[in-house]
Amino acid sequence: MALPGLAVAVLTIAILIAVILGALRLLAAPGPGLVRTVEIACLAVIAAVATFAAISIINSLFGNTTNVEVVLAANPPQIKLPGFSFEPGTAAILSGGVDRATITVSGLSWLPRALLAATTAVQAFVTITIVWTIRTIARQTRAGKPFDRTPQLLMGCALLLFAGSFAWAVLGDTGAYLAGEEALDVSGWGTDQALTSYLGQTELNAYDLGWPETAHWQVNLPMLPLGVAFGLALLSLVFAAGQKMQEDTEGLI
Amino acid sequence: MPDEEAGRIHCRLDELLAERGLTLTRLSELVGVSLVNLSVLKNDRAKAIRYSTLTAICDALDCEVGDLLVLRHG
Repeated sequence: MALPGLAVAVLTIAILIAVILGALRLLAAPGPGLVRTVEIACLAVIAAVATFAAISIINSLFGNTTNVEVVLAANPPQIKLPGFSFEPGTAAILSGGVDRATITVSGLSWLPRALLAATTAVQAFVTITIVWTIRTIARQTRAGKPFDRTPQLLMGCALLLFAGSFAWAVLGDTGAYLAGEEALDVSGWGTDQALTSYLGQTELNAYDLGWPETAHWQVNLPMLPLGVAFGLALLSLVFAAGQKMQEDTEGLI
Repeated sequence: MPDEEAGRIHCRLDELLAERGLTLTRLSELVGVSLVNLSVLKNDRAKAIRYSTLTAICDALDCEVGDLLVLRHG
């Protein structure tokens, strides 16, 4: 490794170690330092998410290229060429297939662009709202009133995350499906008379030759965010009990 | 207890401290209750008081509970 590259690697590792040790120190003795760190980190995360989401949305709507993950009909990888037979590799594929393609495409129509941009917007909105709620709870904790409004905020986040998960799954999967249809539905026609005569046809769909095929429209619900939503709802009940206790002991000497 | 009923309890901490020549700061050190909380108690803004706090204040001021807390009528 060249000297500058080694120096960068050493510096990166040193910074990572310092960050990890700092985080462990805060977690080992939770106090005002941890709360303040969480507040600042939340602001940084919100700024980062908003920035990246804005760039992604603008690129989805107006960019020349769009990145999209397309769900494929999981056909086993194969090459279908009449008159040719192919030997399998040292290990034979018995089942399964290629089920996803992450592709960069250009020339998408407005509908998949809009759906993909809306997906990013929903995900960013939900993320920013949850992180803002964490920051609010941290500020309340620093002010000595950790239970003020917290049950209501947590339940709001739970509902938003639940609804948002459904929304971004429908928007994202539909946008990806349409993008896949536009990018992968490839057909062609033959001009070589001898070849078309041999094949007995002049037009071919690329799927016939083993080209990846978009799976039928489907929505894959993200189980983790849905589970977290239920967890937040339960947490709001716990904090509601704490809110009652805080009210009961307010002004207690 | 509704707040307006609790507001009729008057804490005579100011009077008792003056009689004994003690400051609120000194009482805070003796009793182990923060100055802020003693100030809340002194200004009749407290909503509840622990028995342990009551005991410590009465011990420090050498007084009875009835000397410290009185009920205002009307």
